[in-house]
Amino acid sequence: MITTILEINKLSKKYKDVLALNNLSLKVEKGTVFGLLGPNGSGKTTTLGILLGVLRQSAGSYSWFGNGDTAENRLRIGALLETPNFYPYLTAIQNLKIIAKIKKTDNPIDRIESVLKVVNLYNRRKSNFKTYSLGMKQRLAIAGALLNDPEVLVLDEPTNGLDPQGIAEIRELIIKISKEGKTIIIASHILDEIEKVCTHVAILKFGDLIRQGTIEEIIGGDNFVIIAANDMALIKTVIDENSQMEISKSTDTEITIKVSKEMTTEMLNQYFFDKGVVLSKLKSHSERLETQFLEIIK
Amino acid sequence: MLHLLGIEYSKVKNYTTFWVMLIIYATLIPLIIWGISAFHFGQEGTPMYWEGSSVFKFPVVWNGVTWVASWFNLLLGILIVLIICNDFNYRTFKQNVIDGLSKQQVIASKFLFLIALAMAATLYTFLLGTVFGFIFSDVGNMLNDIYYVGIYFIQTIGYFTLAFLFSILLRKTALSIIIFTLAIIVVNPLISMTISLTIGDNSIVQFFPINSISELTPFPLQWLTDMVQSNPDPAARSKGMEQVNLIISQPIRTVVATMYIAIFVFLSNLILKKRDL
Repeated sequence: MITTILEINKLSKKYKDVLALNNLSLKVEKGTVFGLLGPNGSGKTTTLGILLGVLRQSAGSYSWFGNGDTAENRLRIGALLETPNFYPYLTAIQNLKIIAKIKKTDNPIDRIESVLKVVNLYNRRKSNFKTYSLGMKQRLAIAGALLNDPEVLVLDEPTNGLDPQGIAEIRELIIKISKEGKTIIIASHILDEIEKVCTHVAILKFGDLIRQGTIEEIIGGDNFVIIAANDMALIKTVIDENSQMEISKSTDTEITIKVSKEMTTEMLNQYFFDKGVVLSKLKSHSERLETQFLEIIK
Repeated sequence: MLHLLGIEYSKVKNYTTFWVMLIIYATLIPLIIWGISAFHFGQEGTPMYWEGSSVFKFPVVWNGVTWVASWFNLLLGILIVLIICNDFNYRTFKQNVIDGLSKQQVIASKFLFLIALAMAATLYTFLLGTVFGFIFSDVGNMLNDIYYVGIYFIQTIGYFTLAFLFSILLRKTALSIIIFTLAIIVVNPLISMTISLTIGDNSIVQFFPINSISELTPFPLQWLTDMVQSNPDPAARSKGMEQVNLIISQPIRTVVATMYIAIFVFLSNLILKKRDL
């Protein structure tokens, strides 16, 4: 049984003077939700473009399912890269039929109906693609990726252009699909998105791989807590006195501190109270990945 | 192969522009043949007299019909440009690859479609030739000169592969259509005319790519000879025949045109191989 879905070996891509991707090596295991993180222009889409056969690498290699880089591999992959690409003069059904033909999908009509229902486009299935809103186009692209019931989903900024409800729906969908044992590779700069769904991440910056590991490894053993009080200056001196605390971010109205995982909010509250500070705000930081990410790519 | 052709067919099946252009093509050719056949020149019974319908009698009809049909190769060529540039504009070439076709398959599917369209056009011309042949003549030696139909096929492939080359070179629909059209109806005739006026005959320019392809279905040679021979001035007659005799033979022209087609295909493949989709 194959456990390695994707292996990337020293992949590089050069555009004239720009090195868009530099010597990237990665492994994606079966059943993981792999997040590819990085700011704009860090090489996420370039990487996926190469893996999906659209771009040619300047150096290096990759292998899907231990089967090299042949086009047939992509029949087992559902992918969404950059923009939704469809024929504007065709309806959702007609567009998906083309994908079904390429992917040699069994029972195409049934599959098309079912994926259109999953992405909530069934009511608009007979409308031309050009009449769709951006969010609807994006959902049709996700439907296209799901069409052949792929073993691997590759999603590039999947919630692009979606409204909050659509984002939540897609996120739930991703979690549901990953629970079916499927592998998902997802590129995004929306860290909240990645943190909520991914098991593993790799962080890219200007084409270089900066960090990779499980989400726990990346976030680390630290907790981030946001605090505030009437006397902000006093808080700072209290924090400075304690070697177990470190200011991560500070504004006029609140301070984010990094504390060890063992330190609960209750203990913190007690500590500040003992030092004569009454906290007006105390909450654990939910966007831990974002905070770490900003530190990592500094 | 049928798999790839099926994918291409799904792309045009509900594409209105495609069918409208095909209908224009299919309607105009018989209309024009009908128009020419009704045309006559000079006084009946005199040597200068000829009637248009004479070109649509068996077996000359194969030359006549393909000659008329060839006027609309440009239209079909534009259709090919449209279909190929659409896939660049909508980024669907990319999407087809992402979905599981190889780059070679994407290119091959377009080539297959181009051949299928050329076959359809050829078949249609054959049907028109048969119908008009029967209208204006008897069966007789109807299958002599039938090779023009095969040559018409090569000709449409010539136009289509040129359209293909322009499309993948330029990628933008409007730009490709304009340049493809201008090359055929303005640039090439202008250069050809300048050169043939300079040297005094067509001997060289008939080997140019667009000329050799478009001349595959020439102005019916018999007409040309008849017209020259009907000239009462003997000097003009012999000068005319000299020009007529310079025209390269059909087999040579076919070989030359086929060579150009091979070059167009080779160049297209070279470009596609070097570039990302």
